[in-house]
Amino acid sequence: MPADKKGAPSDVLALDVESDGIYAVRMKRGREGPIMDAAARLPALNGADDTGTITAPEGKGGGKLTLPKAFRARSVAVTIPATHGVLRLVTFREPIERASVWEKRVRENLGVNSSFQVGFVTGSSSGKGRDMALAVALPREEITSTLAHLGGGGRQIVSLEVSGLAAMNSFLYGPGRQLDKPAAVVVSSGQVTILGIVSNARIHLMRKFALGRDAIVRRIAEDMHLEQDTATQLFTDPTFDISGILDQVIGPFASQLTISREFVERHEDCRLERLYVGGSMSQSTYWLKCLRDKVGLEPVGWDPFEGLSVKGSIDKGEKDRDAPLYSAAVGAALGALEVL
Amino acid sequence: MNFRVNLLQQEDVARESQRRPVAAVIGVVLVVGVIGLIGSKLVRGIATRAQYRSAQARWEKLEPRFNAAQDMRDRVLLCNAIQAEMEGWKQARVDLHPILEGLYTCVPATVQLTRMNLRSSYAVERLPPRKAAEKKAPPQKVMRKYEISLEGVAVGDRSDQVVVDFVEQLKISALDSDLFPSVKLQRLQQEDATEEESEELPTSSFSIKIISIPRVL
Repeated sequence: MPADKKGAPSDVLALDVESDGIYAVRMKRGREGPIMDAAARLPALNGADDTGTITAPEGKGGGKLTLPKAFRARSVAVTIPATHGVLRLVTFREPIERASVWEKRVRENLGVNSSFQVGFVTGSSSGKGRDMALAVALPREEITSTLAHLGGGGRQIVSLEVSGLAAMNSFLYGPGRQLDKPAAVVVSSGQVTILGIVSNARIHLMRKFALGRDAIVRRIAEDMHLEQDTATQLFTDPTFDISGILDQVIGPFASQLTISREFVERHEDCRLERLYVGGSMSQSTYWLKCLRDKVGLEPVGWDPFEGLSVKGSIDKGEKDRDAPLYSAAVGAALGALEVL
Repeated sequence: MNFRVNLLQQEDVARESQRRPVAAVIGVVLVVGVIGLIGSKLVRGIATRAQYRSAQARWEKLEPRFNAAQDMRDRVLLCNAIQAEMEGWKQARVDLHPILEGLYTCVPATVQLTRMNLRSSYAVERLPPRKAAEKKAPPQKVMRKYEISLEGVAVGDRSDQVVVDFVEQLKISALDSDLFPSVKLQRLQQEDATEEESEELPTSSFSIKIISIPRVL
């Protein structure tokens, strides 16, 4: 499909590479807003390790992605969990005059060498108007491997993002549009959980935690001597009490969540009023209960498909049930279409 | 401020977009090449098929004539063989009447032929093989040879000289010298007269052998 006047594609396929598969969303730019054309979960690629990270070199056990016809778009936006990456909201004490210095300063703050690729968006802090950047660093090897596996076949990869941040973009397109009071957004995937505290399109805090559904499921399987599949079912089934196990795994994150909340409230002189939850862990009653207990607010989910015109064939059952799992793919597609 | 942190650098995007055209060009060239190859084969196949059909149609028209020509050629070959055989026989054969006429004209009045015998015999001559295949069964030449024996008596004085002259005449004019190069007087004997016959003329008995050249069949 041809790109629009600004150079952004008008037809994009977003692929969220997760440990349990690839969440694919095809989206087109319509006159009255983005149009959902197709959404499905595709099998995980050969060559991806148990974190979903593609590590096998192309051609040595690393499979090339073959897409169903409905998902064959020219432009592709990719999101990966960034298990081995660094995510940080960096605030600079001194203003940065020249644009060319940004990357150097960001790299210094993230503490990464040249084997990492750095990406960032800039802004200014709400209080003192300092320069700040939402920055991500990922190993170049991981990026190269991902591009090699997902590119080609007539596809052009136009963006590579961290899935948690992409999911937050879908939040921005949904409930985040009318957000006038500070809110915490917790997005979790198989390996990583990202906590963001935002208000009025400003980012107060952004942190990445090495906690995800996979670690909890693994712990349930070990403690209860269950198969992995059964443990995965238990994780989302409210009829079983797994709070004892969850408390042990979630404990460190819960402490950091409390600290982060207090830091933002004190620093920004505000009060957190909303808690939004997205990603794979939002399907667990115990996860929601844990967050409610720690933050003291009722967790609210969001439907990433809401507000989008749906023209293609999308399984309604899956759409309703697994909608939170498509947050990252939808966010990446919206970002690539530049409708945010 | 949104959360879109694109980790793809401009070089990555450029590399991605460069890789695609190169791959696309290679792909297009390959596809065009394959299509061209298949097309040329197809065109050649179609042309060959049309040629085959036209040749088949022509053959259907020509076949009866061809078969007739084949039959004619076989017949001609057979006739030629028969003709060659006949000519061989004709070549080998010697007409008797010119010989008899020659004898009639040149026999002197004082000579009386008492016996004439014409005999023919065959001889086979093996030829050297010209090809390796002919070594087992080398070619051969069959020839026919004629032999005429004449016996008679000459009466009168100088009858012996008459016989000699007669032989000369045979050689010179009576017989075809090419056909009968060998004319030999084999016997000449003067008969002694008995007392009762003392008044009669002296006689000489003789025998002549005439041999023809071998005539190839």
